[in-house]
Amino acid sequence: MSLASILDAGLMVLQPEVLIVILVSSAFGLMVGAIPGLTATMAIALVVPATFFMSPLSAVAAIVATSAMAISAGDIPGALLRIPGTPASAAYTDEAFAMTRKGLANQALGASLFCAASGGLAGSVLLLIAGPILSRWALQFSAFEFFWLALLGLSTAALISSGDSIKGAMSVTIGIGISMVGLDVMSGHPRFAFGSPELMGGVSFIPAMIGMFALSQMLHEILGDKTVKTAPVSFTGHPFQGLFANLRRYKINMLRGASLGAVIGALPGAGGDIAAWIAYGMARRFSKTPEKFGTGHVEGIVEAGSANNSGLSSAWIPGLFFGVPGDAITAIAIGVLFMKGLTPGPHLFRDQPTMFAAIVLIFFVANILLIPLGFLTIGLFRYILRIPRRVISPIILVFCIVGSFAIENSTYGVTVMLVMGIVAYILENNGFPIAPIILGLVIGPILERNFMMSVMISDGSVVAFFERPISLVLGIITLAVWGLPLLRWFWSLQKRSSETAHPGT
Amino acid sequence: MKISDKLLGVFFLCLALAIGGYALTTFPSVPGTDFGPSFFPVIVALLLGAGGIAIAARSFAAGKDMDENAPVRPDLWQYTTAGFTLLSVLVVILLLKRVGYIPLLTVTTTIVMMLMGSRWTTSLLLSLATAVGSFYLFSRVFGVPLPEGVLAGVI
Repeated sequence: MSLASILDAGLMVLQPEVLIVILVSSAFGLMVGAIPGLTATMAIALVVPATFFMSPLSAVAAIVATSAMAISAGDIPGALLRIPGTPASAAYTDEAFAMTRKGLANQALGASLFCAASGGLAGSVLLLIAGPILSRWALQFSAFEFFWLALLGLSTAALISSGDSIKGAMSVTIGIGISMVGLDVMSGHPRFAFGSPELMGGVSFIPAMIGMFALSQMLHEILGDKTVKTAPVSFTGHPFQGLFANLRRYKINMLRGASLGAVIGALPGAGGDIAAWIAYGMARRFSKTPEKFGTGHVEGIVEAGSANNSGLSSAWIPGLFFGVPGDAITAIAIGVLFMKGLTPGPHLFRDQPTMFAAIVLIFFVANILLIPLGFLTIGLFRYILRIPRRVISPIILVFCIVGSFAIENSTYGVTVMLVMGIVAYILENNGFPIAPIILGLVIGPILERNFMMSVMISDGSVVAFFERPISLVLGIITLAVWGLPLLRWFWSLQKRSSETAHPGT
Repeated sequence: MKISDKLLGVFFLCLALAIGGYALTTFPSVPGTDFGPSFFPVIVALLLGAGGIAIAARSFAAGKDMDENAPVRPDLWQYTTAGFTLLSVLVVILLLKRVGYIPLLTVTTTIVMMLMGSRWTTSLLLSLATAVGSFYLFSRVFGVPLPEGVLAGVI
């Protein structure tokens, strides 16, 4: 990657047409992502027809900016309404919402926004400098590594991020269980479908997420403590208040989160989702004040938010370098790239270095734009949220219904939303964390598919799961994560028995 | 909706047995491997069952549930509102094709808004605006085939 290519790319990107496209797409993506019920995929779907009339670079700019913004914007309704936009946001939605309830909505959003931008920038830099290296790293991942990574992400969500380990683990298990509804990954045999063609298609995670967060939140409001007046969300201060102090205090979290996100996000599949959860778990594990997590504490948001967004940039690595998309959005983006004469693949970097650099620069610009545009969006939400909940909540419900319908263009999505909403409400009232269920639902198939493939490759041998170096490391970390709550339990038993043996010492 | 951990534990244990039993008896095994379609469901069943036993046992040992804070009993009106809200979603699922998106969502949202305390005039106006606005956004802009129902041919 020569300086000349980067400079050329800069000139290409800094043209009025491209910049305007980035600005408009970013604003559009932000708006769509911030409205509960609307998804980033919908936003992209709308943008694609417009790209037919654009130059190749503008087309790419439109897709990149829209997707980056729409996904980042999912943090806003997550913090303000407890409705995360993506499973990755779900890792810190409860924390952010707790901050909002304490009147610290601005601080939560400011931190989230800034870490999103900085994480995204870090991911972009990494993409530019270490793209080829990261792509080689991603190539090392076989079924064994993916299996351990998925298990690590799930274990972290179950055991570290939530307070009650047993119920947290059960939540993740429930999510995995729901993910098994449908056709079996390996044999195609219908599981838990009971003859219904819709159930054979599985439980789609977007209506499930909408139901579990939005609908159950509405039920909480309706059935909540009536003596506590549900005042409109109070915003004290402004988003930048205390931001730099927070960032200075948690700069290690930012760095760690961004690095983790960039590295894990480079893996095709649900890399970004796993990264955010592991980052949140790590923040809690290595924090000086772990007891504050869950009460509305910004540290976890800083780390997980950075991981989430740096993962977004590096999620393009498998797409750009292998032509293999990791998710629907990258798949659409790659389609647009092909249409415009750009061939993603191992030779993109070598044959079209300027174009590659230009794509990365678009990420830069979009992430920088995130701060002012996000600031405006938060301001807009302040007005929206001044409207009393008894009016806003039913309107949100409409968007939830139509958003769930839109996933598969049938009322099946709405049914999923309804059922999952009721289930989530009951579970949550009884101490079960909700967000890990979503992670289980999304990562479950990855876990099972890679386990089955690993078993086929290794012919049933357990040793094979630890033979490859990366598998060994991931496996040990995962087992350590399991070991921690057990150790804690033993220590507490020891303490209790020593206290009864020597009272007063 | 606070259920005691002991009851929940029993519930999850029964669920686990149901899942595991169903998987083991109905899912076919794949020749040549021990790990077929029933493997993961059985693991899930084992984990849920173990978890259920654990929370019930913990509740027994401690004498009370871990998160036993002062239970807030919602009053009848709150239950009614919640019930109607859920019912309205069910009604949408069942009648959407026949009645159409705009009329159905207007009616259900108006009712929910009124139950939550708004005046009927405000509720009706806002619900209509939301239904029409979201219809045009999703159906005309995003291309989602929302049923027109009774308004077919009119819009």
